[in-house]
Amino acid sequence: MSDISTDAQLLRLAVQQLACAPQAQRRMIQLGHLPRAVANLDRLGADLTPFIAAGILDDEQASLVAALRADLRGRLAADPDFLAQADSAPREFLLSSALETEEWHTLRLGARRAYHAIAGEQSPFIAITAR
Amino acid sequence: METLFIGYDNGLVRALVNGQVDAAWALEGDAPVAQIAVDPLAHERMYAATLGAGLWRSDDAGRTFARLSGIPNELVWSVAVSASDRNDGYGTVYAGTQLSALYRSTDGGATFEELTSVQEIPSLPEWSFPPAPDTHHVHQITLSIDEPDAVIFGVELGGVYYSADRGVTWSRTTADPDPHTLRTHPDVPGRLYEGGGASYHESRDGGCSWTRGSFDGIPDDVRYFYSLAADAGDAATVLISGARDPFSGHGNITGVPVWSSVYRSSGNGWIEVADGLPAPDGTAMGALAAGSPGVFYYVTDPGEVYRSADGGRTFAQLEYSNDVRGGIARTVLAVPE
Repeated sequence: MSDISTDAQLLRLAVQQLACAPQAQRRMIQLGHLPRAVANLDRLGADLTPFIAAGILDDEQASLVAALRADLRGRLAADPDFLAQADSAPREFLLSSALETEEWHTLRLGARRAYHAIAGEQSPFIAITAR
Repeated sequence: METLFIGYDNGLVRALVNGQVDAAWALEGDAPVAQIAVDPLAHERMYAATLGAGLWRSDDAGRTFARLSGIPNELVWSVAVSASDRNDGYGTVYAGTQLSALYRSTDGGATFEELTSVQEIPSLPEWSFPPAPDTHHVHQITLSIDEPDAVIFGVELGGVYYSADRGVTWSRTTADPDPHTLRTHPDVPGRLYEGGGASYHESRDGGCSWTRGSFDGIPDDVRYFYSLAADAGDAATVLISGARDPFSGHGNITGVPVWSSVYRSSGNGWIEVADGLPAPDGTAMGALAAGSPGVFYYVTDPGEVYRSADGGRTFAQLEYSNDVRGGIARTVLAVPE
């Protein structure tokens, strides 16, 4: 079962996680959170009209989320291991420079623009409850 | 014996420790107390950083606090007082806020100036607190005990920065970029410690350069670290709290099993501190503090106080003479008599 408010939370959470600092994202990969976030963004971002209709996103916010999704899809198409999951299990991955490429830097800044737009100046704490 | 200052989400408790805990509220309100600092050479002067009610000062050794007005931001995460940079008998004060900004006072907190150089640090656009990326903050500040111009601060999450010129210029260090705890040893010049999000680091040159510590003795699945304290009498002895991840460690996510532990090192690997502390299962990460030489405190939810008098090898829980306590301890400071 899904409802629009739960989906909105998952969408915001996905954008948040893509906006995080690299070390946090490496941990999210080890915990499985970031792959879920990517899947949620891909699924929920495919059609943002329900969020617009529900008043959760305006056109500009939807545009930023859609652009982030498109950017991520393009990078995953070019590099199926863009999330660097292949070697992510050891502790050293957490301490490595994975996800600190120029491509990730650009994606991260786009995610931060989108997050800022949908969360506002005083961002609420978003509980890590992604499924 | 020591006086403990415990910062909670709803205030600050001042507790005399003399076989038991004799506690009283020193500051009550809705604003969490994020950090407490004492002037290392004038213990009657203290500061409390709050999330929502700005910075506060005490001139009676922490019995009462009065709000300061010099920082134009109510979200103050960090405060530190210099032992080496002195003005009329009191230390220069640094305070850090959310969003990340650093302020300095040379008149005991009456006025503050912002160190605008922080806003020019090239990595600033990448600073990002994971639960809410727009809320990065200066989580830690530590000051050299013998170099008055040296300033070190850490952004959650954005790195640890060092200045040798009182904040005119900054260099990013190789310390863990998630500085949950930064500490200066009170008696050993140049010795600094970091309890980072993913690792332990230490510095022998006043925070200019950092070396990642060994994980020997720490289980491979313990990959998250938070609070840290170094023995005031033995700079090689360090305690650090560890968990498998932030969610199990902080215990603030419904449905995630809570687990955390404390590890001790004297330079030859880490040993879990099991004697006298609560079992890891069901225990959220608390706050560590060093007291007199050989003395450590660990404060857990809800304000349970554990004391070690043998350099952190064993702990014993202290009873309260009353029930003045908050919930989860965000920070604890021990001030020796």
